[in-house]
Amino acid sequence: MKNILLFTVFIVLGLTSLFGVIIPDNLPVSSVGYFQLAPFQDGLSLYQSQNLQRYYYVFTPFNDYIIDENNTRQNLINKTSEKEKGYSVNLYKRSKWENIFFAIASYLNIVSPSIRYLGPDDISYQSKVNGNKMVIERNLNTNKSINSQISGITMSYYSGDFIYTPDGNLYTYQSQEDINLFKKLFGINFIPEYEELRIPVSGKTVLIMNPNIPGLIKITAGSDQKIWVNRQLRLVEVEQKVSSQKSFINSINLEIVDNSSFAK
Amino acid sequence: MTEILSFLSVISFFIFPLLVGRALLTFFRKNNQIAFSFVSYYIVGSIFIYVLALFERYIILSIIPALSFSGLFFPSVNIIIFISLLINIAFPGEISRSTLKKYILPILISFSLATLGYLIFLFRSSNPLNWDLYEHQTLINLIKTGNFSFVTSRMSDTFMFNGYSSIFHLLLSCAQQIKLDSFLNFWQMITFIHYFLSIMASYLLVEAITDKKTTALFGAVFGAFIFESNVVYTSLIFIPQTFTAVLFIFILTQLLRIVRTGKLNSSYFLIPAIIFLILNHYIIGFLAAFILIAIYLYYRYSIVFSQKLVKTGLLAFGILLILALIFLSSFTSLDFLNRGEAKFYNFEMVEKLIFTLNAYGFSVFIFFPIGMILSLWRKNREEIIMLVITIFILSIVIVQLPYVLKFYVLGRFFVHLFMATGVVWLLELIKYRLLRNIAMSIFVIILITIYTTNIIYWKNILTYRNQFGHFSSYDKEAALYLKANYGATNALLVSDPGTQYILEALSGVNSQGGAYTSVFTRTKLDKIFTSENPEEIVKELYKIVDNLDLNNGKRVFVLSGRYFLWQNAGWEKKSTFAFNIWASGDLTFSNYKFIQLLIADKNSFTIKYQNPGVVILETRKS
Repeated sequence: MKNILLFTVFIVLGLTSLFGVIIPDNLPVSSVGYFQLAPFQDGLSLYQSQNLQRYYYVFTPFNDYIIDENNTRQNLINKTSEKEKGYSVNLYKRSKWENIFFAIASYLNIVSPSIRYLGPDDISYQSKVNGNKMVIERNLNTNKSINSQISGITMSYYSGDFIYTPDGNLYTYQSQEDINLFKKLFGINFIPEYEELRIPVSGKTVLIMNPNIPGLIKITAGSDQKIWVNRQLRLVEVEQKVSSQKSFINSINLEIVDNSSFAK
Repeated sequence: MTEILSFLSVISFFIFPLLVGRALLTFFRKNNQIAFSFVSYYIVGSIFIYVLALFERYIILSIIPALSFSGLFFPSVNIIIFISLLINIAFPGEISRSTLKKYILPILISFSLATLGYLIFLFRSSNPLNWDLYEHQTLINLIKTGNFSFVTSRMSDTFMFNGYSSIFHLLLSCAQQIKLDSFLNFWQMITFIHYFLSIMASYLLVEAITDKKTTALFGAVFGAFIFESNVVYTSLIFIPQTFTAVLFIFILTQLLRIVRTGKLNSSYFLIPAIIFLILNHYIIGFLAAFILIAIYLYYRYSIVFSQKLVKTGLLAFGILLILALIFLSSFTSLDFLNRGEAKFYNFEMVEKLIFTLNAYGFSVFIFFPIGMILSLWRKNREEIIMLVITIFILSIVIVQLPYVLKFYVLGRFFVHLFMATGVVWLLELIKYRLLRNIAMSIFVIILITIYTTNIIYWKNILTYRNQFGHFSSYDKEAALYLKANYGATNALLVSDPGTQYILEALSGVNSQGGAYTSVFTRTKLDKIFTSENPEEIVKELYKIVDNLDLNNGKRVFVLSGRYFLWQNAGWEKKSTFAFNIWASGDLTFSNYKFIQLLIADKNSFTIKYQNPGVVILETRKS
C-alpha cells in the first residue's frame, strides 16, 4: 500500500512537471506546402507563419451558405446573431494534456486540423492533408428540415489577389502593369472578366495568388461542383446541389502550387 | 562518400589534438603521471597546435612576409600530426580492463540517449539548426585561405565582440582540411558528437559525486532531454561556450577523482586546462577556471581548517552572495551596461521563468529543491561543494545583467546533479522493484515529452514549407553559384543580414558584417528599399564597405525571399542586431516587381542567376 502511494506521488510529481511546459498556439497545425492550416475562432485558416504580415484564407460557417428553393441565400451561421443562436466552438475547451498531444502530433505531421461549431446546428470542418494537397470536408447536421437546393463551401481571399483559370480568365481587378508583368513571369495572357460581381468560373480549376506571399492556392471542383468568384464578399465559392435533408457533406479540394514558374 | 568524408573530418577535430597531446606527453615522459588522460591529451595537443599557428603567423611571417599562412601552417601541422601518429603507434600504452569497464556503460547510455534525442531534434529538418555555425564557418573559411589572427574581429567584421580567441576555429580548420562537398554534414555530425559528450559529461559528474549508477543514469537523462533553448544551448548547439562547458565538466570530474585518491601532485595539468578553457571562451572559461582553482585550493588547504568551518563558511558565503546580488541588481542602475547588442540579452525574471518552463516544465522547481535539501541533510563533502558552486552560478544567472544567462551553460550540469539526486531518492522509497521500474520508465517518457514540446516551441519560427530550418535548397543552390563565380574575387555580397550571414559562410564570398551588419549598412539597405531609382540604388550599394578589407570590388546584390521579409519588417526591427528572419523564404510577385524595376536599367543591374527563392544581380557603377 505504501509502495502504491509513493508510486502515485512520484507519478503525480512527474505529471506536474510536464504541466509546466509552454506550447505553441493554434493547435493542431498542419503544414501544406508553403502554408499552415490551423483552427482559429472564425474557422479553419490557411496562413503563412513566417510572414510578418499574416494573411488568412478562411473556411468558415460565417461565409458558407445554402440557397433554398426560393433562391434565398443564407449563411450557415449569421455572425451578428451568433450569441443569440448560442453557438460554441471547440477551440478553447481543450485541456493542457490534449494540447500537448496536439503539439506533438502536429510536429509529427500526423494530425488533421478540424473545428466544430455546436449550436442549433452542428457544423464541423475536417481537413485531410497529404503533402501539398488537402481536402476540407464540411459536415452540417441540423434538427430542422432545410429545403435547400444548393450548398456552398467557401474560401475567403484578399482584394489584391489574382484569381484566374489556367487558360487566362482573370476574375479580380488588376492594373495593366501587373497584368503585363504576370505575362512576363508566367506566360499567361489574361482575359479580364470583371463585368459581374459574382461570376461562375469557366472550367473546374481556379488559382488564387496573393502578390505578397509565395505559392498559389489551386481549387479544383468535383464533377458535381461549380466554382464561383464572389467579388462583393471576397469569396471563392464551391457549390453543389443537395436535396432537402437534415445532414449533408460538402468538400473543397485544394493544392498549394510551387511558384517555381516565376524563375524560368 | 560525402558522409564518410564528413565523418572522418569530424573525427579529426578530436583525434588530431589527441594524437599530438599524447605524443608530447609521452615524449616528455609525463604520460605515466597524467591525471586527466584523454581530456588532457586533447587540451595539450590543442594548445600546441594553436601556439604553432601563432608562432608561424606572428614570428615567421613577420620575418618572411612572402610566405602565406595557409601554405606554412597546414603542411607543418600535418607533419606534426603524422609524427605524433608514429609516436603513438610506437608507444601504444595500455588501457586496463577496469578502465574500459568504467567507461563502457556511460558510453552506451549516452550514445543511446543522444541518438533518440537527436532524432527528435532533427525531425523534419534536413539541415543543421545551429544559427551560429555560419559565423564560425566564415572564420574557418578565412583561416583555410590564410587569413589568421588571434583576434577574431581582425579576421571578419562578422565578429564585433571578441568573446574568445581563434583556437576553436583553428582546430576546426585543421579538421576541415579533408575536402568536403558541403560543410553542412560536418556540422550535423559534430553536433551529434557534442551532444553525446555533453550527456556523458553529465553522467560522469553525477557518478563522481554520488557514486551511484542510477543517479548517474538520471543525470544523463536530464542531460539528454533538457535543452536550454534560449541563450544557453548547452547540449544541441556546438559553439565555443558549449564546448568549453562540456570540457570543463570532464576536467572537473577527473579533478574530483584525483583529489579523492589524494594524488594532488599530478594536478599541475590544471594549468593547460585553464589556459585552454579561457582561450576557448573568455567569460565562460574564466568562470570555469575560477571554479577549478577554488576546488583545487579547497582540497589542498582544507586540512588546515576544520571541515565544519569550511563547509559552513562556504554555504553562508553562497547564500549571502545570492541575496546580495539580487538586492543590489534591483536597486542599482545598470543602464550603462545595456547599450547596443547587450540590451537584447538582458532578461527580466519573468522572461527567465518562461525560458525555464520551456526547458524544464515544472520539474526543476520540484526535484532540484528535493535534491538540494537531501544533500544538505546528508552532509556529504562533495555534494556540499557542488551545492556551493550551484548557488554561486545561479546567483549570477538570476541577476539582471546582460549575458549572465550564458553562465547557465556551466550551471545546468550542477542543477541536473541535484535533480537526479532528488528523483532517485524518491524512486528508492518505492521498495517494490517492478513498481519502481515502471515509475522510472514513466518519468523518462515525461522528460522526453517535455523535451519534445520544447523543441517544437523552439522550431516554430523555423518553418519553411513542410520543413524546419534556417535555409532552403534554393539558398544552397544560389550559394554554389556565388562560390563558383565570385568565390575567388573581391566581390562584396549585399543583402539582408540573414541572407548575407548564411550565403557568406556557404559560398565564401565576403559581406559587410554578415548577420551583424553595421547600423550604417542597415541605413543604406533601408534607403535602397524605398528608392525607385536603380542608379541611386547602385550608388548606395557602393557606399557599403567592409572596413577590414577596403579593397571591395563588385557589389553582388542578392535578393531573396528572406531579404524582402526583412525589408518589410520596419526600421525599428531592422535597426537591431537581435532581429533576423530565421527561416528561409521564397520570392513573391511583389518582390519580382521590385526586381523588374532594377533590371529594367541595364546599365546598372544584370541578372546573373535566379531560382524561386533567390535572384543574384551584378551591379555596374556608372
